[in-house]
Amino acid sequence: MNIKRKKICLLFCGGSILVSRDSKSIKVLAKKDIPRWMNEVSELKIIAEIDPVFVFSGSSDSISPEVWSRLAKEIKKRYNSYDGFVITHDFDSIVYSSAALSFMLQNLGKPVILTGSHEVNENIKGAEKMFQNFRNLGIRANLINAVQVAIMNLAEVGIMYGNRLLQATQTQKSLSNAINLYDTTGEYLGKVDFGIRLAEDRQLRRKTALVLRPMIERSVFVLHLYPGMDIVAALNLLSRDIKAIIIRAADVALKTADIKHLEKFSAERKVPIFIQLDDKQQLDQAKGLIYLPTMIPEVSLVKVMWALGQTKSISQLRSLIKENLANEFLNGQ
Amino acid sequence: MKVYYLASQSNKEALKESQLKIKRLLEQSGVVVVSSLNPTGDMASSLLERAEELGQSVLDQMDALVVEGSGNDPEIGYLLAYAVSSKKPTLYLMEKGSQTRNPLVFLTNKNIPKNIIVRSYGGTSLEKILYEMLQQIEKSDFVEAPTIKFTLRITPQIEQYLHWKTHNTKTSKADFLRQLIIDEVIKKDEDYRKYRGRKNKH
Repeated sequence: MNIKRKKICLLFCGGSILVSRDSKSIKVLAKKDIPRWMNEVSELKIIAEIDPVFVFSGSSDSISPEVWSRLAKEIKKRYNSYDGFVITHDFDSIVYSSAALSFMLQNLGKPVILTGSHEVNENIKGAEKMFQNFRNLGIRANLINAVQVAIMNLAEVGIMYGNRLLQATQTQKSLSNAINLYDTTGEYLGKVDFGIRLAEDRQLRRKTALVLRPMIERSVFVLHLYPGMDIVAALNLLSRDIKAIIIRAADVALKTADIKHLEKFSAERKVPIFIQLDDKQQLDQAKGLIYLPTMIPEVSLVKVMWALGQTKSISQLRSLIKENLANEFLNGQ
Repeated sequence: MKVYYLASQSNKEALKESQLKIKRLLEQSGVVVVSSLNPTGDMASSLLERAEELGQSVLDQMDALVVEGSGNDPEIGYLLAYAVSSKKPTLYLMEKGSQTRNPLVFLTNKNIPKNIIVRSYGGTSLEKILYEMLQQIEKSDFVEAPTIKFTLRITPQIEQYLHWKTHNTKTSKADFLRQLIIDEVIKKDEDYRKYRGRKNKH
């Protein structure tokens, strides 16, 4: 008796460039490009039934919070119809999108795997020959691995790149390995060897109702402190449209006077200030200031943006930020 | 030659016997077999380590794939998809009478690429099927993609020659060298050909 064939939803959000059999680079810029693209990677259909959905096609730097919300809504819409989801995405901003989905898709009981390619500069000498020989094996391998993971027993948002599956909220760029552009700050969610081996302590599939929380606040300013910086002068430059501020003070000891300035600024501008620093007790009695646990910088920014989309109450923000919602905290916090 | 052999998961004792027989026959042919029946063997571990060092996929280090696909196993589809994508020589075996659906039917136009051979087996046909496949690989009847990274430092004299030989042509220096090794070294090495001939006899 045959096992029932799995169904995977493949969402296009950039990062889809690959090289065709006749050595042309092709990508999905609109819905009409999908059939030709799918024909080039028909091997994906060996693994599962694939239903493609066009979501977005802009460059990596134009994948805004609105696109994150759109992706989450598309997944919610189709959640009960598919066994898993694969999203093609450019790798430059993939950490932001995957982190956003980790927070927006709550009670997730199925895999959501992001993967894709970088834009390839066809003007590089030798690029055409390389494509003829390899037919852009990188993205094809990423896609095959991502689709395979999407049919496996997993219920997490992950990034598939090279020979590693990484948990979305624990992923950062790595310069040390040619095949693996990204690396994890914790344990791998999975590794590709002769097949795909998933971590034993991963979240397993479960029959739960997906809770969608797609609201996000995009007007957040990030200030990275350096020793001797005039914090007040820096803050006074900020537009009044900013809805929240993140201050990264891990390398700088904040003085009591600095804390007072920040409280005053927060009260006058009516903006919460999230502070990442070593000694969180400094903020215990501070009004309008919220301690930000250590996370990957992109992840902490996205979490703050997402939390502000859920509530404007300082006490509720404090609770949301304090809670380890998607295994986003580092250093065993 | 290195072969990765996937024996699909099954509870049927008779099928397990056939799967073990495939592994034995491959090993008797002189190929190095890395098998899902023994995933933590020494060879598998050393290949995995090497793949990590080189930042490569470990399957890329295999010369061919053999899949016994009579059981229901989601890894079959994965390996076949990899085989199609990478053009790796692949033998897909199914026991005669097996009810398992061939996942290759889901390819567009059901066009099975030339690098994948699909065979049903039964009785004593296994030996013949495996031998023929290994012969085909030896004769480079499959399209091979160069996937194994090999760093070679060359002298200025060699570089000068390679530049002279390949500039204004469509051939890269690496392609020129690869073809030179195949045509002028491997094919003309009588001792090596005799050695391969001995290995394939069983």
